[in-house]
Amino acid sequence: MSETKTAVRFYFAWEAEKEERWLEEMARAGWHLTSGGIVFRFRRGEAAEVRYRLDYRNEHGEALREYVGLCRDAGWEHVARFGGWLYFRTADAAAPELYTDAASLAERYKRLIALLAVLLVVNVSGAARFVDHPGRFDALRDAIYLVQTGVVLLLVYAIVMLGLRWRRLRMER
Amino acid sequence: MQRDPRAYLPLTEAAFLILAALARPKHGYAIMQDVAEWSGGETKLGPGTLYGALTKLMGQKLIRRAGDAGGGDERRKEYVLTEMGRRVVEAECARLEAAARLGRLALKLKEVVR
Repeated sequence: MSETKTAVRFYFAWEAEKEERWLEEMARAGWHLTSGGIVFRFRRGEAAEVRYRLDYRNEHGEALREYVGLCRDAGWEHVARFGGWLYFRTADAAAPELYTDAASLAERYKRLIALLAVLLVVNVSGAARFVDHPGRFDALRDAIYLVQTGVVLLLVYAIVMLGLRWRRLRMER
Repeated sequence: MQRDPRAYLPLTEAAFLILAALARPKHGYAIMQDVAEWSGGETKLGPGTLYGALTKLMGQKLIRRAGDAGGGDERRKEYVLTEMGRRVVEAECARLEAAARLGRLALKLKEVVR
């Protein structure tokens, strides 16, 4: 039996729970996460009953180290990172969830939406040019603008999905 | 220049407990333990929630960083109440006391009328 395994999976930003459940299933089969994102790497180990949680934070450097240290103190091991996404794992059933009230969990969705909004703004002018006059430019520029249009549509969809989650959390009390 | 501490009220239960815990300098995990203990296990603070609350309270200048915990463990930053933070806790205690008194009085009156 090999020592490592690789899997490719794509999860949307609002599918964190799905991704967490999959990682927990893998852990029950003895595969423990070493790196994640879209290409996931696992190492062989004992079958274990653990909790995986994904977090998204804008902090880096000193502030991020402080946050990770706080999570470690609470029982959560920081196992992998993918941009602003942080993967945490715990075998301690008594460790509190990372976010224990709806308001702070809602903040996580807000951070994601803010990131996607920036990407949206960056791509929107290209998309606008394409929609306005498809075929007007040379082949390469048209192709780029077409891709940007696709990206914009995807981002709008993602923002709407995240926004619905955020709104639902904010209404919780 | 001096803001009225009552402008910060009402506090959420988590915020109140965090501020109360920081009457003495503490690092993050100690705050989590105190909050769990004082609330009899009712209010559990996750690290993500705590970090967000600490950031917000720092922004509101109700708490500040104290010196680092001794021993050079640089990841263990300690926090403590500012003067305004102290006044806000006092104001919230006064508000809660008044509310409790009013509630008990209202219940008593109801019994007398019956």
